[in-house]
Amino acid sequence: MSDPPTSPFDRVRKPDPTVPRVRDGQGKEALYSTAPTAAPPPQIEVTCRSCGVLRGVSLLEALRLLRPPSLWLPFRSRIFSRCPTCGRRAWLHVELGQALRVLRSQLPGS
Amino acid sequence: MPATVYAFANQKGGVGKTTSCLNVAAAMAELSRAVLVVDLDPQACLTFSLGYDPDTTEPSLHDTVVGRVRLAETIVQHGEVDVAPANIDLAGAEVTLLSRTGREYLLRGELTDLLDSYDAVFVDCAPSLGVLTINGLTAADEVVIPVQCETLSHRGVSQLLDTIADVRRLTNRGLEVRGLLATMFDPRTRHSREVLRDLLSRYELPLVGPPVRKSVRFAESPTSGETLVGAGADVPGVAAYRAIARQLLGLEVDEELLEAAGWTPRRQAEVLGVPEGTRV
Repeated sequence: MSDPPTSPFDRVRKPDPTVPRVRDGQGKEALYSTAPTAAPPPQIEVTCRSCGVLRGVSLLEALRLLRPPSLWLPFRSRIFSRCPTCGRRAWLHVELGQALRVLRSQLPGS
Repeated sequence: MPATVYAFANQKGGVGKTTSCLNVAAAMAELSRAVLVVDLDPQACLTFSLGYDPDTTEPSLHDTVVGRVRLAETIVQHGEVDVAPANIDLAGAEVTLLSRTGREYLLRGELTDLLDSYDAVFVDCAPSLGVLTINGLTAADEVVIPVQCETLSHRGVSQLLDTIADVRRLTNRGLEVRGLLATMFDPRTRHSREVLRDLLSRYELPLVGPPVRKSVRFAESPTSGETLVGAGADVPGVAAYRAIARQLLGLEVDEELLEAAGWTPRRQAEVLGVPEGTRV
């Protein structure tokens, strides 16, 4: 049983970014062309240290980031390459995207 | 120093976004700052309010969105501020944008070359959550949230903060919420005071300048083609917008201006529920 409201405005809830959205989060994120969950689900997610934007890219696009001149630090998941969003050369943090995360979670023993 | 980009946004309509955006911009121009206002609303209220006919003003932001001209080529010089006009075609352009990768960054990219020519850029966002509003928030350094002190506006702030959290996460990590700008404020009603007090405490947001008092002069002014600030109207709301412009620029807001805005120490104490004499 929840506490009775103490203010007439208690029905209006303050957004909490740490709580995952119950409703269709992907629908909302479809507004953002570079959102990691924008369709189709990207295989790789790249965050640029320069512009700060997190962007989903395909495996092919991720391989293009490795094209010289670039620097790859595999153990730190970093590539120094041209950012696919802002176009500047910067350190890019690379991690698995939604599509590969789903695939990995379906592997036995995961 | 490059211009600071302010987005005036609230997904709720009719809260005074355009009036606030224009009058704060005009007040900043009065302080000898070079100011550009960008009309990002297909209803083109800002364009109309400055005396232009949106149906005959070409090129407009729509032409920029469809890639016909650069934003710089759409700018017209009004007596008070420079303006990038809009018209109803912008609604269709939004649909065109929906299928383009990088659509959120269009305005940011177009403004990049203009930032050195201005001290401040004001973006009047549409009262909706669409690609155009996301463009405005993505291009902005700071977002000012105009809010009418009524229950539904209160709810609109919650939704907007949710959108801002998405924008921060996905397209503009540096976006800062400057605060709430209370519009159409009627200090005589308990509801106005309660909404404002609850908004400030619930979302822990600062109040930008004094609340703007309700006046029929703001409703009349779009017919004249100039802002109330530019026309030198003697109403408390104009003083409030001047105070807000000074606050955004980090300048001192003197007691005389606050008194003219109707934001006396006694009223502040009464509205915000703080002891009299506390500087808010």
